[in-house]
Amino acid sequence: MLGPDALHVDLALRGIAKQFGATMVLQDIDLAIAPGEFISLVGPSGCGKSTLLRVIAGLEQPDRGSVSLAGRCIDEMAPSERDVAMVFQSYALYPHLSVAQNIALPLEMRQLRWWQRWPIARTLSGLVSRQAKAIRLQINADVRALAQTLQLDTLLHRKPMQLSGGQRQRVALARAMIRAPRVFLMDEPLSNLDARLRVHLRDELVQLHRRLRVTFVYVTHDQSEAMTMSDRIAVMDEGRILQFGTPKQLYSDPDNLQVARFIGSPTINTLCVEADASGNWQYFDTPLGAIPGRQQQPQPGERLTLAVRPEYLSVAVEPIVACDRQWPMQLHRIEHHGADDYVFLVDARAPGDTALIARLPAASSLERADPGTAVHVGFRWSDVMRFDAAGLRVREP
Amino acid sequence: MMRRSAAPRQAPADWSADDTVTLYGHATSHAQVPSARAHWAGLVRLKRALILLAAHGALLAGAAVMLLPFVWMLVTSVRPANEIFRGSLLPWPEHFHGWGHYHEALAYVPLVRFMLNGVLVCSGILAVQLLVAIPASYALAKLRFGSERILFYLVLAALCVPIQVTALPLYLGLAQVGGLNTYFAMMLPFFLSVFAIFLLRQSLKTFPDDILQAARLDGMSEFEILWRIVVPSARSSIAAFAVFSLVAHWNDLYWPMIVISDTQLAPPPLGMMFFATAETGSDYGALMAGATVLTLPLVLIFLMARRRFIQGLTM
Repeated sequence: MLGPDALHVDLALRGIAKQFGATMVLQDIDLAIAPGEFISLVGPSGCGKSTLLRVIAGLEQPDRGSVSLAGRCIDEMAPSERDVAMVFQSYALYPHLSVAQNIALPLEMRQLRWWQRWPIARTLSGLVSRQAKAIRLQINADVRALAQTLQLDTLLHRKPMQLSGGQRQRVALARAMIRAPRVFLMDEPLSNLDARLRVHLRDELVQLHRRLRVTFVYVTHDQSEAMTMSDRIAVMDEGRILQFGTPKQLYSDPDNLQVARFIGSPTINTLCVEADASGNWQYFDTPLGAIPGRQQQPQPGERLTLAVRPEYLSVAVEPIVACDRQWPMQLHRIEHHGADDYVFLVDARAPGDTALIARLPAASSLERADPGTAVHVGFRWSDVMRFDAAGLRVREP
Repeated sequence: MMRRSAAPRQAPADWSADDTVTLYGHATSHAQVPSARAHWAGLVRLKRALILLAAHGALLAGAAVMLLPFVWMLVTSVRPANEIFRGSLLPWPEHFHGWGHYHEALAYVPLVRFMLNGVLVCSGILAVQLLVAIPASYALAKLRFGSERILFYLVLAALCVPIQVTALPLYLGLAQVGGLNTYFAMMLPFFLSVFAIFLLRQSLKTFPDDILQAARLDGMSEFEILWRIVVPSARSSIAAFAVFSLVAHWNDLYWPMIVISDTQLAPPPLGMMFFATAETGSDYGALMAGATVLTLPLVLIFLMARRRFIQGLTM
């Protein structure tokens, strides 16, 4: 895995900004991507991730900022000159061309002159120019070889209409791969596929990345896709990058509450706590005392958000021994996920508002408990992340 | 046979037991009659058959009205002259006149010449119309250059201008440059078809943008994208427009009558008119024979392009 400190930057974005009408779609995006890295851009829909990808491809012009690839500024280059290939969510295959023609087209565009590319020239080329014919034969051989590695060799004569979703996706990949580009851009390439195929192709994409060793920029709204495939992830919202880091960093050390909430499934638990008049933290009527490691005394009325991943919450019917703080809650529902159970908890003092989820190994003592059972919920301070009222992480020792 | 005879024997027990009939809100007395359901189902089937019959009857009547002039034309063209004015609507002539009128028509009148003129003018018009309208409609549908909306409104406005409005200035202009009595004069007003631009823009609008962007990434120029990627997908709409255009200009009498006085250049309807007044006066049999020959190509073209034509209009 190439970390952020493999500071040989391949693709660099500096100060990218873009406005559609009155809405700022991208606001000062800076991003430095190392060669061969698998980068994901994730975020809710409308966060600007697809637009950013199109800016890299050259399909959208940014209002400000610049893009450079391998140290060269590519702002002025046409999309086709940028040495990037893109895979679209809708696959964007040419509907009336066969699979083979679809895959061959990027090569034809690069290697043949315009008059050699016209369909009539295809039949005449052998008579007119030996060279054109040789190029065509070479292209055909390349297409066939690539089709074989992607298991498309039996489908070469079909039209896109006659293929399944997964097959179309592989053709789109082949069309991108045949040019051997420096950067692959992928715009939600798996989101039109069914769940099982998606997991399968996820694996194929990772294998492909390992084999090609080129830079991938992958856009998705599915955090689990980003988490499982990427070297680093940029979480975006409202046209900004909230945090850029490895999946592990984003999960266990998020910079702000939005990232903490977006990454991880089930969603992270948040507890809103308030300092009382004597400067002690309160969670409803549960006194939490002082937060260990926090030096300054809280102001009365000060608010904090505590966040705990579901797997770090302890839940039990009897009082819990191995935790720092605990309080009573009610069992709402248990979801069985095989190895894990998701335990949904509600607080009788403020129903709805404070639903928590705990993730317990299956066959815990709660397995058979009825809804409504009174339980104890607890955490350790070392597993708790703190965020201030603006949602920024509080990291002081 | 076995199954059919077995069913009624079991049926009454089943039917009296269930009361689905009452679901339709009918009197419960029906429910007690064993064959109530069969009766009801029969009524439904009858009603459906009547509706179908009525619908098909109306459509057939419409079709008959549309076809009658053609039938009249065909029948008249094979009728002896004395039968034509007897006003008989009998579909078939009492005395079959055979190909006589056709012989006359072909002998007196250069029908082939008229048709050739028609083919030349129509294909010339269609070719230039498509060459202009396809890029224009692509630009209006897919390119963003700031004024595409205004230009589209202009296209819509131009749809409302009939040929009669521009006829006089065009005629004067052509007369000035000595362009009357040429094929070019017959084609000129129709080279730019706003109808084609409108129709094709609507159909190109539905073409996915992702494919255009993929093509741009693959290195295609806008013109190549248009002719190699977009046009093959818009074949249906282009075919639909082609049928419209060919029919309209094959049958056009108004404009050729203004700019053409030379019989040698006349397209079919104008030729027929010359023919009707000069040579045959009141020989309606021959006239109809000529008309039949001249209509034939259009009918053939339409039949060949029928599927695409309907696809292109119902997208």
